[in-house]
Amino acid sequence: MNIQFTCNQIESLIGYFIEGKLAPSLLEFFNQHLKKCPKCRKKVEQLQKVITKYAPENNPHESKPDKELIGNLSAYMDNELDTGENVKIKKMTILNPNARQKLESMYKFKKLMHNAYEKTKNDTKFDYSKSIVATLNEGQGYTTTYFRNIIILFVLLLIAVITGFIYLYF
Amino acid sequence: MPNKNDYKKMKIDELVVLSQQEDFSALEELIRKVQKDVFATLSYMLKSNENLYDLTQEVLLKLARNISNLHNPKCFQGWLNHIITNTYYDYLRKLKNKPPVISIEYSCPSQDSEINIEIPDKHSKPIEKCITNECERQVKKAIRGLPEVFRIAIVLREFQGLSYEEIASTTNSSIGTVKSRISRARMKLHEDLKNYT
Repeated sequence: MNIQFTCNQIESLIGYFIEGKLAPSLLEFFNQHLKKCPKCRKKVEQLQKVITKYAPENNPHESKPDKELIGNLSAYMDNELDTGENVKIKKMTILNPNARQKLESMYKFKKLMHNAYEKTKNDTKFDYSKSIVATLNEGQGYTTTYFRNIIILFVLLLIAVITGFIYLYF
Repeated sequence: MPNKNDYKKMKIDELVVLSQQEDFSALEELIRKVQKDVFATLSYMLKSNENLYDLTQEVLLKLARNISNLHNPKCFQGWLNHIITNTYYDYLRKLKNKPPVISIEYSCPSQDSEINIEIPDKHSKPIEKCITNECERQVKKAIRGLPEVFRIAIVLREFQGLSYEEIASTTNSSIGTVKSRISRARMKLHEDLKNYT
């Protein structure tokens, strides 16, 4: 039986391969494909680099949070990474238990903060809507009334001046 | 002419558009819909509850007075957060006896993108019950204990759902700086609140 893996099949098995958990019967065909396909070979190399970088054994100072890792996980959680970075982090969290734990913890805190925020909102009892709109209208009313009074005074003054002229010259 | 119930059923965008047409009933309903968010956001931005109610009213009044200046109703949430943040910064300047710099001018970072604000579905069961008063106090204390720039960034991100680009625009910083501030805020909060998860 001559099995030839497609690139899609390689994609689905890549995680097991990296972890060394690929079934021995499939390993030969997996490696055969990698020999012939530079694209898949590059994918495996890139993923291996990411895993190696974040592997627990390569991060002896785990008690100090890895700022870069947290930064990327934080941006991943906010959906602010570009597609390539997104996929890298997603794969890394699947394969690295430490990163996965950190991400899960971050989601828990997110939920806690949202619960606190919702409680703050729900505990508020005031309603400023009527008073704000009333203040807005008062301001307009005041300006309109003031303007109207000025116009009336001006017209009266004009009439007085014209009457004065008529009286003087006639 | 819509009646009271019609206004209650309208979406924020619809109320914004009507408010811009001087429909005061729509404006009233719009204020009713956003006032709790404004209050809650300010309560996490400020270091104490002093002046919280006054500042909330100040923001709502600015919203009401300037709603017609908002060119794109789709940018309402970002515009409102711009007002909240600027009002907060002006309050800080007043405390330091510096002159206020009020700017209502706001340009949407990306006009084509949709601004997605997560609004919880009232009819769906909450995954977890509301936390206790003590827990809420501790979360607020932890957030209020953050350095100001971290606090503003995390509040705008977590509670107002702004993108990094929008936060950068609102706080006059770069996207990279916003990313760093948010992740550092989360690290600090994680440390302060690890007993509450």
